[in-house]
Amino acid sequence: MKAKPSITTFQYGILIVGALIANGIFTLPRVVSQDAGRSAWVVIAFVGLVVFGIAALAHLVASHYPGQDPAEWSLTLLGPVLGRLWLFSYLIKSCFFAVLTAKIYAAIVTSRMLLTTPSSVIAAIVLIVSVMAVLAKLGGLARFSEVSVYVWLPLLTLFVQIIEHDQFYLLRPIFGDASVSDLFKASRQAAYSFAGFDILLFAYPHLHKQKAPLRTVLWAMVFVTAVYVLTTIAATTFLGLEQMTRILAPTLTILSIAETSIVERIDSIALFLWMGIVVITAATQLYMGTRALQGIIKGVSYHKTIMTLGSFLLVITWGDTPLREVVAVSAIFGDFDLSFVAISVVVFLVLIYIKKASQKNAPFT
Amino acid sequence: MRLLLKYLILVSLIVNSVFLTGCWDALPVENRIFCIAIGVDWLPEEPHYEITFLNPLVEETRSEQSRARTIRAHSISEAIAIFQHTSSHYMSFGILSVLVIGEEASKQKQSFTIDDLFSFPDLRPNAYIIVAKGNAKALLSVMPPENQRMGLYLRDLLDRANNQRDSPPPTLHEYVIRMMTPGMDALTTMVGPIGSLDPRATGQKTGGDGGGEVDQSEGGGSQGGQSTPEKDVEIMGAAVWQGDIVVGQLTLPETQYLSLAQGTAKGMLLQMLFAPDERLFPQANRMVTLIEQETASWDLTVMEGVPHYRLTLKVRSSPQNYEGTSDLSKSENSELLEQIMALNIAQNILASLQKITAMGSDPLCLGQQLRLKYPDLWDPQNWGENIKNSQFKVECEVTIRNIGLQILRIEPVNKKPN
Repeated sequence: MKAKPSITTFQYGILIVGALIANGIFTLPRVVSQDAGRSAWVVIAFVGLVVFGIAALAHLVASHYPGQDPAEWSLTLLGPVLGRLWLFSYLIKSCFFAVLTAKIYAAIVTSRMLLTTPSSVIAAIVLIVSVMAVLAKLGGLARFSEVSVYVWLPLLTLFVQIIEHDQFYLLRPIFGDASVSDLFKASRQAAYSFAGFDILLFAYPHLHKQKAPLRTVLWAMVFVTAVYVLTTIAATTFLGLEQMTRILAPTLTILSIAETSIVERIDSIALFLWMGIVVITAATQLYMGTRALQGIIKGVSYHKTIMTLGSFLLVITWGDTPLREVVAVSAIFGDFDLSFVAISVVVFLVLIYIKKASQKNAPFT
Repeated sequence: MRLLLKYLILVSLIVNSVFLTGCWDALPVENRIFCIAIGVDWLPEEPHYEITFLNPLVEETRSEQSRARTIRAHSISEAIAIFQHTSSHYMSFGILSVLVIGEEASKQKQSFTIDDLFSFPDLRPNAYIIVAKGNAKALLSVMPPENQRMGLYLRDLLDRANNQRDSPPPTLHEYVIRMMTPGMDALTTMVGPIGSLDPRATGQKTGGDGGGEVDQSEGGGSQGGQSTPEKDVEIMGAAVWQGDIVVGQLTLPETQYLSLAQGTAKGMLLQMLFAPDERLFPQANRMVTLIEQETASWDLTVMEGVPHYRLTLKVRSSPQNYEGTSDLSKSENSELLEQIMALNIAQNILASLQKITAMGSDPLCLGQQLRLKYPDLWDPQNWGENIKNSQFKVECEVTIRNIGLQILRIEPVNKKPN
């Protein structure tokens, strides 16, 4: 399939932001602080830096095949058998990720607001809307991502209220509360929140400008890391370490404390607005899964693949799972996802250079 | 055109999905009861808790603005369950204004109560938490002036106190942070009912052993039979917490001096009581002064394992009602007043600090200073005991900006009294 140019460089960046940010903003401060203590925000900044390095490598890999996505060049680089095996692993990873994203959001909504609604219903809504978003193809997905991020962005300004509290001493000392092994453990817990940036591998061929600058990936990663770091700092100074590590979604708790004369419970609105971002994350995974399946089975229709995959995910999402369990699974999965993508990118990069070197050394025919 | 159709379907799906949840979670407003205040009292016999819920009345034929219902139970969650079961209404805490802990109840661990309340997702964390002088039920049974709702009346009172820095009342979430974090404790406003001699009968019915309900309209008494309904409430001081238990009380002036020590007294009207002084206070030795600006800087050194705290305070104030005879426009007199005020403030702050540390409480977050400066000596578990050994030194410098007089004195001149 020859990719049609449908997204701008800015949309490329915002798509990365949309694919990442849904996973960590609510629970990340707690899961990282449990191990890293007051150093949580430093750990998150460090993980952001590492992930940017991996994303930069992924961007480099994608730039070698400007007109193709991994569903095509993986078969060229790894061969038909190994390539399909890799795509199959990718498909499983993407499906699992999409299900986890929908389930975490559904569990948060049903444990905070819609107490009697089955969480499967919320997860199903997320998945159905995600299928619709993927049907609009990558161009539509990127535009939807833009709108969702713009809609939610103003709510982040609410964190300025932490300045009023003046409890920055709760962040100190930056180091010393946790051992190096604890910091490492915390960084692995943070991995899930940074999973999903690999959408850039699939989005790159759809760019209007075929040579997208690396700085687009840089600002997208800096934006996501900054939001995570600020959220964690806000949660630590606002709630204190002891309370924060006992709250499932500290960010929502802070929003529930913010009151305005017009809207009393901002967290309720924020949670529903957040659905747009959750849909982007689930949809990007669904898109990647669809393309992986198309790579495995050549010639299958894009629309039919999405509908089949969407229906399959809808079935396996059914059933209520407590939020704590879903979050615990996501921490393990995030570790796997980041390792899988990082190893794959490095292997592909090596293969690309070997192939280039062999082409250079090959005699003219 | 086809793409536009897809977008339209996508947007309509998102919008409609929000309404789908109404299939399960729809709760008509007539099936809800809003709680504007909760009172928690503790009785020595089982079941220990006596929980009072204050609900606004919305019926057109109402004779009162709100109704107080009291339920005996083993916990607050049990009381809520009994309430919801007997009234067939869902209780909402979305507009909760104040949580009132009775004086006896405050001596018991409150974390169970707070934990139970926070398990309700619609709880308003910005509700105030206060301690009632006496019991909470009596406080919530006060009929405020002009037939206002007690919960809202209390909230307005606490809002004013907060703005005037009289006795900053913490909200539920601020209280929880201080309750949970080692090296800091809460200081909550203590409010008591005041004033009326008008006896009024109450309609009470007592519950069984396993929990029961007492229904009374507002204005009912506190302990059954004839009672003296109060007409108003007033701030009487502050309750000093150690973790989730109240360990002592402070008077309002003591609370104000602690606020000065914290550096949060800007805009506060401080009532000062001076020792008799022939030069400045020959007759009246009471003066109210406005704290216009202050900086409180703390310094900590540890000597032989004992924390020594040193507070340097710089205050700019304007006396409001100096009633002495000295001419304060003369610099020697105003400088003398500044010195006397500085000494007075330093002594009172020191007395307040010694009083709270003797209780083992740390509302000034002194433990956090120790944790940051001497992490090796920081023992969070025993801080409640260790703080009792702390030593304090307070130095204060007062600058008078305005003595509040346009002219020197207004009095009859060359007139003989009749």
